Amino acid sequence: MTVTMPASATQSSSQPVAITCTALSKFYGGKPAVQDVHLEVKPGELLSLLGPSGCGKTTTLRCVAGFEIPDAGSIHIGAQDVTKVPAENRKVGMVFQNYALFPNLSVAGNVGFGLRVAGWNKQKLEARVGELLEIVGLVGYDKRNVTTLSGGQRQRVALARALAPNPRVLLLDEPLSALDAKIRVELRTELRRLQLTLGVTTLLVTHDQEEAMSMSDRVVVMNQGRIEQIGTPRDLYATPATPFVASFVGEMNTVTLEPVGNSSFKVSGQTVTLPNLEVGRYGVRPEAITLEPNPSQGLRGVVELVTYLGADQQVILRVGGDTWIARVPNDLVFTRGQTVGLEIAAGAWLRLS
Amino acid sequence: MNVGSVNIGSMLRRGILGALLLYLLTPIALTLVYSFAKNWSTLLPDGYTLEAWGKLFGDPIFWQSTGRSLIMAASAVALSIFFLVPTLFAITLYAPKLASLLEFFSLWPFVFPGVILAVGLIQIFSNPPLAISGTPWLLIPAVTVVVMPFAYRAVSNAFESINVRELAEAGRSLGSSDLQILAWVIFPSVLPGVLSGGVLALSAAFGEFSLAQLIVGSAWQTLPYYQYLTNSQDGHRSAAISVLAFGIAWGLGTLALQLGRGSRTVTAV
Repeated sequence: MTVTMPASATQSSSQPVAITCTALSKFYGGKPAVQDVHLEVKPGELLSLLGPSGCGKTTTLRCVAGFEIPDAGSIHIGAQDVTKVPAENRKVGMVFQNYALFPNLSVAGNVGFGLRVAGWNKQKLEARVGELLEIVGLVGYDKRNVTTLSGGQRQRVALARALAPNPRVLLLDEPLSALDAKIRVELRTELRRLQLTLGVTTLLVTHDQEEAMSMSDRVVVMNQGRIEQIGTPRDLYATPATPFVASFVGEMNTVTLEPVGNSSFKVSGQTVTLPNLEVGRYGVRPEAITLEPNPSQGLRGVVELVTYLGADQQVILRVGGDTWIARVPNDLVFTRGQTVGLEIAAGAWLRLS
Repeated sequence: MNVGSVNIGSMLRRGILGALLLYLLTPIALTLVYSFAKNWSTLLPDGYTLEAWGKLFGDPIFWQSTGRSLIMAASAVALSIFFLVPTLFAITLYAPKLASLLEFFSLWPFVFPGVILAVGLIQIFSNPPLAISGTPWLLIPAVTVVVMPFAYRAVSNAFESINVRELAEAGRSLGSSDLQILAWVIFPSVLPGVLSGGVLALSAAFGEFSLAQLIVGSAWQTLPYYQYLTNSQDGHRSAAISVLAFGIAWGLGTLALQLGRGSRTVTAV
């Protein structure tokens, strides 16, 4: 399915504005949910808040939406300080994980709700609803009862409803989490394409790192109420700032290098020579490991499990007392119990401070 | 387990079920027979007649009482829904912790006999400025209170079938006030469920006797009071009213089930 864009749709959107959170904190019963969060969603940008459940990403989003009042800090949308502005006056579009469609209203009734509240006349309202249904690919569905739609269709309606009143910014709270895997991937691409076309500043909350990486201009990784790292998907993957980011974004083998002697370290119980590295914690991506069937030197491991993944294969190895994961091409066949060498290029050792 | 014990088990189950049905249906069946009976002093009536039913349907007072009962019951249920929906909405949004307290209060009419309520109301409302004792203006609010536990269940169940909080948030983000959300979304969404559960409240209000007798009595006769008066004059006609009332209750119950089924298919998926 492709996104078709009526000429008027893009014309009617106003200039994109930034969302700025400054020193944002929120406590629940004395326990911090969000602590000292500083972030800026640049005009027209799609920024994701990524983290495990309870990391504070949803609370941050709800503060921006106006559903929660922060205990400290401020929120600006464009130049306006909205910290104390009630949700209904913020002019933000919101999409919820469970759609939150109005069950008593038709598709058109849902999409036009914000316009009806704003007092648009019938003719203008119907035209705008038609426009939005075209954008989300639901032409002809206007009279349908929302409870008869599939999950993907419902979320399109929810998106159209959020966009209809020309919100200043768009907030997406786990918008794809309730959908089937296939629809999720489809809608992910579509949502991103639509966001780029409309140029609307968007804040996305997700626990799915693949979703965050594939849709965002930049990703904010959160953990225990704090920001761990802000960066482009590429930055986060290539240079994770903390062990948490390293393990949360993509797969990572994390090890500690213990000193033995001159450029020699103890890794997973084996002594190896690694020039240009220091003592400390390091991470190695599974795909940065090459497996050598006839090892001469370096790390050695015993194959524990081989999982065929189509394009490549995942090999789980026991190295000393540790478990390592390697992702290697399909051309070599490894068998359980086989001893192999792990070859890791010097640049693939990522320092985790 | 052997075959014999299964048979004994199922026979026992059927036996108990049969006995229960017999216990429940016999009085109704006999009341029905009695409403058609001429004279019933031996095992079977001497003969059958439509006289009691004819007299009943020919009596304008009967129709008036039935009409009044319907008006009273419908008003009481409508009033209780009218009060409960916004109350539960407000509690869900602003003070969810109070929900259990409200539920506790809603059960009070079950705990205290209607007589207490009636006597208290009569004492307060017999004198100016609000001398409305003996009129439906006092009876209807009093019955509203009595049916509140039924209505509360209905409304609270209907609220559980939708996510009120999230719908309110969706509405707010679209610029609407909570009042607009209540009127445009929450009320219409819960109405089918509320009505289906409300039928029970309607039935309870329709049969309310003690309040009606004490507060209005013959001044504004309702159907149960009419039956009470009839009972001392003509047992056959009273039996006919009983059967009729049972029929109405049965009909309302069926309606409630169907409404419930309808609202479920809408809220499901």
